[in-house]
Amino acid sequence: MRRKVVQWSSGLVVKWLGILTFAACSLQFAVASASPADLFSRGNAAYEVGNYQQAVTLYDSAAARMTSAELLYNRGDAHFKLGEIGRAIADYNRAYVLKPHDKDIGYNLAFARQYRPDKSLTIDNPLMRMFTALLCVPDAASARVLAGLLFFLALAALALLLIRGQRLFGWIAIGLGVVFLYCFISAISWGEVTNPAHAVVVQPELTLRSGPGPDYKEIAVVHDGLEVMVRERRPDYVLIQIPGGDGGWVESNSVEQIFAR
Amino acid sequence: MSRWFSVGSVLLVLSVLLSATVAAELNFSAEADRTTVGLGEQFQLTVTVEGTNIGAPRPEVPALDDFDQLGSTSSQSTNISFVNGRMSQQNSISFIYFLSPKRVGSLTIPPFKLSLKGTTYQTQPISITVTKESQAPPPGQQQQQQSPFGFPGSPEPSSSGRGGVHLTASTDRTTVYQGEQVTVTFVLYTQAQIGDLGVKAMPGFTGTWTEPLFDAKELNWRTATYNGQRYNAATLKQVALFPTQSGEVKVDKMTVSGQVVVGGFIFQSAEPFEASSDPITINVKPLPEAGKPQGFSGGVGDFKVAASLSGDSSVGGEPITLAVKVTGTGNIGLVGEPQLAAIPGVKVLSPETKQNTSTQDGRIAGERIFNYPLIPTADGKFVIPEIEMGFFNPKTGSYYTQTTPRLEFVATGATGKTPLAETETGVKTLGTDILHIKPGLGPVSPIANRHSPLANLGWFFYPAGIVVFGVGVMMGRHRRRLEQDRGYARRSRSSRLVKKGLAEATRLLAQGNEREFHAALNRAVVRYVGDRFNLETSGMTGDQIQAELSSRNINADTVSSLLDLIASCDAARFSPGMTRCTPQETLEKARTVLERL
Repeated sequence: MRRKVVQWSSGLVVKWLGILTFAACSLQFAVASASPADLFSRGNAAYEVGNYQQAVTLYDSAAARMTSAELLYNRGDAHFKLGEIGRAIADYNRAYVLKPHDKDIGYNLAFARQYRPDKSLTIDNPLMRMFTALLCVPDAASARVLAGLLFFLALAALALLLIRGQRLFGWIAIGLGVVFLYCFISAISWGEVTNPAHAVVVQPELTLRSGPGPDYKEIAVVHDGLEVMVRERRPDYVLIQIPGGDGGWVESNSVEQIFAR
Repeated sequence: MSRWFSVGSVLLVLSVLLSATVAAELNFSAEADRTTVGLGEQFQLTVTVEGTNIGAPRPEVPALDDFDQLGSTSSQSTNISFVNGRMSQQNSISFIYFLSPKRVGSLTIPPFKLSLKGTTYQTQPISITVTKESQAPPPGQQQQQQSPFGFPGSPEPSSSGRGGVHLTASTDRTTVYQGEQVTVTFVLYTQAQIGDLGVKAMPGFTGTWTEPLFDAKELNWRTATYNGQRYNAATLKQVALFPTQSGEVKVDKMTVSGQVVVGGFIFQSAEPFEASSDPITINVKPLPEAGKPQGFSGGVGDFKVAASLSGDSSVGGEPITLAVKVTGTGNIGLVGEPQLAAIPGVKVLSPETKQNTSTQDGRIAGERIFNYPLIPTADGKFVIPEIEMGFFNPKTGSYYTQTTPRLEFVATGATGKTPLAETETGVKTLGTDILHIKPGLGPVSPIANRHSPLANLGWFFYPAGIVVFGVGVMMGRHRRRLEQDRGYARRSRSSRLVKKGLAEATRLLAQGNEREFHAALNRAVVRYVGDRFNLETSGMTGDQIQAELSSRNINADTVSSLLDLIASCDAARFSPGMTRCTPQETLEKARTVLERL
């Protein structure tokens, strides 16, 4: 009798486990089976009817399988509508790196930054802006790949010059080298923009402390959307530096890393 | 003569006035009632300040290490007079200290100091001789010294309650919640007439926020019963305490001292007394954790919350003040600032706090106002959400919340851009927002897609470029050497040429042309030796070849085999019947010799 009860219990557990697994798989399959483009369209539909939270979830699923400036831009809009300025700024930044010439991305990034409670004190330098714009002609990935390709071609031209002794190859190598240098500096510039240390505050209000724990002295209070640099990482806490140089420890989940390693 | 008289009289009047002013400025002196006292006996030191319009100065007591201070009291008299229509106020303040010497010998009371209007005055030091024997006059003599006008002190002040003077401390309750008001009242009971009274030790209220309810400026006597007897009672002090921590809170004792008038109607004397209240312990219950609202900010009592804005619009980023006002009875001074939700586009600064307290039926009441400056950082209409504040009601033992209504204001010109107003073209800007989402996905470059294997293509080109360049360097060097070094050029091509020669010989052998085979083989071998060692071998004899190869440290067996091969080929060419080896053997031999070279 006892044995029978045990058997029955095991059977029930297995049955329920089966049902649950099936349900989980079905749900996963429903999302997994949809193409990223489909998820993007469904996210847009949710956004249009004002269901921003669902839109974010759908955009998240799509972003796990594809990289697209439009997808990140739309997710940034949904975050902004939810009042999550920090997450919106993070997404606009990611979209900007993919398509630096898309004016909509630049506009929304600047607009979201205006809404931050904490204002940046950096002074706009027109010369610096022009220089940066010049370096951002190719997007980050193109600059990276072009720099590598041009390096290869310039060295190949040099090799031909050495082997064949024809001056033409020398001129070709110089030309390719100049274009390589431009792309290389552009790639370095993009590397700074996409530094994994860049993070953004994603809590309405965040207290910086003098050490990695809740009992340390409070140093400063910052707000949602402030762009910071992560200087040190611990399991639960990170040391962030805010514009102006001051820094303090905060809980890891209170800031979002903008670019992955 | 009359002129000189008038000048002299004026000078005389001036000098008299000046001397009078100097003389009347301040008189600061110290005097002991006895200069010889017995060890442990009490004597009286009187420090007197006399002067015109001196206010209420207080002398600086020097370090009296050789004496015990048993108590002190003071008395003041003021004489107001009008001279030529101007008021002058003559003050005389006496500070009386009751001292007792600690050791035998000649002791000195150091000078007392007094700073007044930038001048420091000091008394003369007083020498006191202390003897082992008692120097106190007999009681009868002391009684005789006491005139109806004097109040000399008794040897030691009476303890609490002696002479019918008692000080009590009482609370309206002994068990309260943290933050709930407790009223402590200090009452003086006496059956004798109080001649002089001063507070010697104020009570301490550790672990509480304290608000005074009543401080006696004068003693208002009433009749009361104390320990079953009729007493005159006067309330000295009443304070409201709000414990800031749970557990036991102690109210320390309060001590008063002074003099009571004893004696009959005619022969009165003053006797010092000292009375202390008993310490009180108040049990403080912690606030319950159950049901504590999110916005609880420490308020315990009956409170109401209101919020208002200083205006409904902000132009050019000007701050607007949000005032959150908490009113009611309770620990108003301990009410913390409310938690405001973040408002996108508005920077909320730390509040400025104002507080007014008053007393209502013995309870502390009042208002506490938190003024938050709000600075709009973007244009548009902003909504300040409901502010919820939680409080604790000690009467019901439960929490309750108060919520303010939503507030709105409009900000224009906060970003320095076009204000939300009608422009010259008639276009009315109502607000700004982010740009709408994009309807479709744009082309995605495979190198930009981090999910694509081509994303890291850039890194492949760098090592590949270095390898190509390295090959180029080596090939370039080879080319230049071929051009410049004949020996290197001959050596480089020797292998290629000998293979070609052997192939030609093999082909001739296959055609059955043995004579030509041996000629081709001989040519290939001799040419290889010449190319390999950069020698002109075409006209060389066997001995010359042997000498050249030996000078290059070539193995003698190899050289011998080579010469044999050349000789056998020559023999086969010119004397076909004289050969010992077959052509195949000769070919194999040639291959072996060439490999060894």
